[in-house]
Amino acid sequence: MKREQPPIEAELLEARESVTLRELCQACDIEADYVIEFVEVGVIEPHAGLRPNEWRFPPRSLARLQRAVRLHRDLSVGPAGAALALDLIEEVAVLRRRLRWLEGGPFD
Amino acid sequence: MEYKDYYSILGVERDASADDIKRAYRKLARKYHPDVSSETDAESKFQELQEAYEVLKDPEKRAAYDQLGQGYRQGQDFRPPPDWEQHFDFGGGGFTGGDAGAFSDFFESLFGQATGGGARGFGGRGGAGGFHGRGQDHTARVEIPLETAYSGGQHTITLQSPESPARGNVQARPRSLNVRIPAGVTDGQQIRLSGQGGGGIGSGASGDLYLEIHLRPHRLFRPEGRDIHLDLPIASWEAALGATVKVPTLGGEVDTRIPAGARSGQRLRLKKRGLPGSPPGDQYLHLRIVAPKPETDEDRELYERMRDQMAFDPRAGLFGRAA
Repeated sequence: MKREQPPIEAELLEARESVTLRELCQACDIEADYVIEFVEVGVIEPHAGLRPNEWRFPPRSLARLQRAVRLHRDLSVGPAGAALALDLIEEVAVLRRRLRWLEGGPFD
Repeated sequence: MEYKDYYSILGVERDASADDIKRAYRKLARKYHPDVSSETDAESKFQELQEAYEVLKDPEKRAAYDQLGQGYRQGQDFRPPPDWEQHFDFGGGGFTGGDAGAFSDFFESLFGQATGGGARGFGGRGGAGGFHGRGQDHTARVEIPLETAYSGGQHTITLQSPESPARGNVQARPRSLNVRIPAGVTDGQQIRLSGQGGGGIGSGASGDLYLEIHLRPHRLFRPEGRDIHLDLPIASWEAALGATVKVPTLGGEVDTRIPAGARSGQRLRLKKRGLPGSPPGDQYLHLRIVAPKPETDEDRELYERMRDQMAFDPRAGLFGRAA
């Protein structure tokens, strides 16, 4: 009989106070200079630290930066364009969700 | 194996110029990119586009594809001639973008597997080399039921993991993982599975796997951050007179007091009945007053008595009259 593997423990990123520049570089597989470019155009913003090696970012920055890197890689969107696209994508996601609720209420 | 018509995938003619192909790819890539698109099959569609572009943007690959594919149509059964690869040299061209491990069998039979670049996940640096190094971090999206987000629990996911063995060939292999989801995860948040990413090089440690969590739409509850919203139907007399009614929450049924004189659209808050966390979310009840259809003569008489007795004009606000 096949024995079931014990589940893999997962860490909720949001439960942490912050993520480091190094973690962002590793998770996105990019160099620090590239992350700094994204910081300069406001794709992500550090919430602590003055210099890049001291920077700490809100955990949600990671998903946002990964998305920006994918937009850059797949669609040739530059950092400033990625910042704009991400803001719009997030806004559209909220609006789409609200629209789905309004159109498909469970008691209609 | 099925023949893939890369021209029709990109929506271009067979004699399209390199610029036409690039333009068509860019346009469709914007439409189907999984980070942008709301189409349900965006991910597979985008992969198909990348595969088509990978071939048609490269003059050598395109020439080989054109020669071999003469007379074939999309979906038709296809076998490459046994010695065809000798005529073309794809060495050194490598793969320039995307998750090459996810390309089709058709692609692999024509052009072999991706070389160089390493397992990309969402990355770009590649990884092979004669040194020890930490494995790449990988990222994937998973959809979980809202109930799992509330109470935490095990969830099995299957990933197409690109793997890069010694010679750098990328192979996609389905991998099942049984993950313990922490309670209180909300839509769009990420969880990290330490050491479950790409394998390290030499004695280097494995990378991590990041899972972006998406909550499956629920029949009743609408999550917003840690808060949960629910439309609560109530009878007109419950709204008028007040009532204690049973309300579903993620943690089970609770009794809730509807205040007398409740209005449709009014919101009631059940404190700390949303997703757990610090602080926990609340559950909001959106009241919807429902009037029953009269089934009997007595029902109809009751409505008639209300009509005659109550001076109520629900449309007063439309005409600037006092309600």
